[in-house]
Amino acid sequence: MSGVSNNAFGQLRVAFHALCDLPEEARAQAMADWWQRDAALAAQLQGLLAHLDAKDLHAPGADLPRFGPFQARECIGSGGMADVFRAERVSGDFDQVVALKRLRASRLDGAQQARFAQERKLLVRLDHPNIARLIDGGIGDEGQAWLAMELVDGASWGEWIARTPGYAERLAVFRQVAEAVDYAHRHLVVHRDIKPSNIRLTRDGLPKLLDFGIAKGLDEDAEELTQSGQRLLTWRYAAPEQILGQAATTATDIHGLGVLLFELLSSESPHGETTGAGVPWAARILQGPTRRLPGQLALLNAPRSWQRRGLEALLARCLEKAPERRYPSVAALLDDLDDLQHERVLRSGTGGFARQWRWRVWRHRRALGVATVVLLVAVIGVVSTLRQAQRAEQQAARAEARLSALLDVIGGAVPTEYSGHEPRTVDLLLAAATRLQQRHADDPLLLRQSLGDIGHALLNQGHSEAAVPVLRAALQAQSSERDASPAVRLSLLKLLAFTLELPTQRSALRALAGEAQALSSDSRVSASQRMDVLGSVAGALSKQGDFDLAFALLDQAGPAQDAGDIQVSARENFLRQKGWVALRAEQFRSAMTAFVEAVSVIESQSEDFVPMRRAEAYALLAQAALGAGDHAAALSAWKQAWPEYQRAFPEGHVERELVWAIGKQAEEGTGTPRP
Amino acid sequence: MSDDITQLLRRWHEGDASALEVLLPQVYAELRQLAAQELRGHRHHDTLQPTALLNDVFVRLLGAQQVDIHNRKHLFTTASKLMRQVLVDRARAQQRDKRGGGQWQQVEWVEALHLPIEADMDLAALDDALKALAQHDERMAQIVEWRCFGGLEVIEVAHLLEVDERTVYRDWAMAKAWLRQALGAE
Repeated sequence: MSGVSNNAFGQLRVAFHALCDLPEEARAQAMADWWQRDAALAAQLQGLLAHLDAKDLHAPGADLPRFGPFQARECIGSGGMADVFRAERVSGDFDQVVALKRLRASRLDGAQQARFAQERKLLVRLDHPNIARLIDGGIGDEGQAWLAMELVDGASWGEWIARTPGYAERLAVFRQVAEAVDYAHRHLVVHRDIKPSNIRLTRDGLPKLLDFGIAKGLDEDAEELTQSGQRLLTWRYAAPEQILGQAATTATDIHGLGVLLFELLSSESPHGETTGAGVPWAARILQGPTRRLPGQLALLNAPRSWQRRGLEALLARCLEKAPERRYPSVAALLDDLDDLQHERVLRSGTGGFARQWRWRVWRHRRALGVATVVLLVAVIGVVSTLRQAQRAEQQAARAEARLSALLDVIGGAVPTEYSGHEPRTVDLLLAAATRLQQRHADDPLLLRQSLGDIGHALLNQGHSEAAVPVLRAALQAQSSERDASPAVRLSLLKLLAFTLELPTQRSALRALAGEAQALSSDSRVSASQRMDVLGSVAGALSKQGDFDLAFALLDQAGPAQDAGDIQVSARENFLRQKGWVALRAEQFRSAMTAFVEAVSVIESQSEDFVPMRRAEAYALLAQAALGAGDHAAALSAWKQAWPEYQRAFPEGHVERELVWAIGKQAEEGTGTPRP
Repeated sequence: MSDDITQLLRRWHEGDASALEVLLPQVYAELRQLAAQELRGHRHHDTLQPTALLNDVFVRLLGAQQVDIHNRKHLFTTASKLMRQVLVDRARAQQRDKRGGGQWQQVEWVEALHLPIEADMDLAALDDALKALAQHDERMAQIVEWRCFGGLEVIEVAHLLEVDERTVYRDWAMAKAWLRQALGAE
């Protein structure tokens, strides 16, 4: 033996492997050939064959048993819980080759057998092109459960990936797998174990999901026993709730699909090792950060820019650690996948509205023919309201319809319609409002939401006058909604209150204040909103010099302040408006008190406020302190405000100059030089 | 203590044979204790996972956080080599000194660990034959080591080598035929 060189050993190995494949007779023939061609090699082969134990060629225990009408022919796989055989139907009038799975679990007791039978009934109803069909099943002589399934003998998932470099092709096949899972979910079956080894492809390239959860949980003991070893091999694809031993749900499968897609695109696990510290899979899946797709994907036509970000958002949503934060259904995931494939915005709202808007504008950048930057400013105004509407799924879908309607209008804006000039943002928004009213007159909800958004955007753009008719139309639409909500009406009234600035609109504002007061007492209105709206309307009234009504509104809202669950932004806005009312009424001490409180709300939860909001509060406090003659307090508040104004506004900007002037006055009052 | 073991493992891996000398008794004791526990605790021997056992030993010895063995391949290679050393050294010691064999129950061991070795196999001879096989085909010898001493299933070996399961079965069958022939020839 030792005389055999490595090269010759390699030859021997190849020849031996080839012989192993052959049935008895063909093997004898092949040996005869070898004796003629290479007697030395033939002698060695003969020696090996003489010492060969045929059992070594298959999984242990493969004595090729018979199950019902099926005779096992070859063991084609062994896992922790089962052996899989290629088996043929031997009774009956027709030929059939199946994948036969024999559970390794010890004998099933009566209850387990009943459950097995019941699950089989459920699974046999699954009839989908991407699910390997369950053909038959039963309990063997030794009490072991077996299942006959459609044999998928094309390629393994890994083999298919290796020869499929294209992004679009891979995504298309993944989509079919997801469709299969969706179909199963609609038939009340959760797979629980989505991973590459449970997917195979037919020779025609059709993916088939194998191994639905039938065996799971049948033998809890076995599961427990193998925890330390066997489970290590499979945790890579487990969802956090599975590691925690909680029930698997449809959300578990969504996580599984996420891992599958991530690996399909990057060949790496989203829970892969990043620290090199040898953290176990389970710990990484439970606590570790979920990785982002690597920068370079080894794919043909890999997605770029917006599309890639959409893909990342989709993956992140699938891989959320909390099941309830993942997609609510595979159907929702499929919708997003569809959008991804067609380069559209993810309709679930995944990835955030701001991002989606940017994406939309980007895609329409040519059709728009307007300065994108200007548009973005308008759009971001819209986004702030959309975010509030984003809370529930239904609302998100609604928001999407609104976005489409808006975008149709914006996308359809052609410069020639505007006498060759690029349309101004305000023109675009007003055109959108008009067209929405024409096209969607029969949909008050859509109309109210869209017009509300546009009114808000116009207001943010400083076009209060233009916003008035739009917001009035929104209110009009709102009143014809079926379940008109006082909360929604109040937010529209709040916006409208900000627009009524002209002396001629004073009575309109008073009427609005009356309606707001009445609506605020409705029990469906939250304490936060009551405070926020009444404060804002009071602020608007004070601008008109209508102090009596303003103070009345503040008094009505005041008690709500003590409620425990007031949103921090509502509390801050109320205090600011209260301060403004006092400031305008020249009650400087009360104004200072209100602004001091506002500042302390901001400082206690600074992460909820943008820096400018904080700076404004300090500037207002400085202004009130100046009025009250407290120069030291004014100067110290001003010092908090000034850096942000300096940063945000260029020299000569009116806002900056105003704040500068406050600082100058405070400094002169105290006699201290400013920094 | 686990710091020491990590150190020892590292030194051994870097070629310091004496490190293994120090290491083995600890691994051996731990393995024996675990095997005994497993035997006491569970009646279904057929579900006992040797892989799990080895994992447990290493996790226990090294402390899950400090495992310096950065991948499974390395872990199982190390574990299998250790197990081979443990078993073969004991077998050799028994051959040298029959009295010392009283504590060494090869049959019990091999069965307890559920290794695919005939219980009364001459382990010392197997060790030599395996060395000879490695001269011809290192990977084939590695498969035997993982299977026989690491207790890995074919499917696990296939994962580690990233080859088809069928290939591993054939190599395994050939290796065993070759070893039988070699051992029979002695």
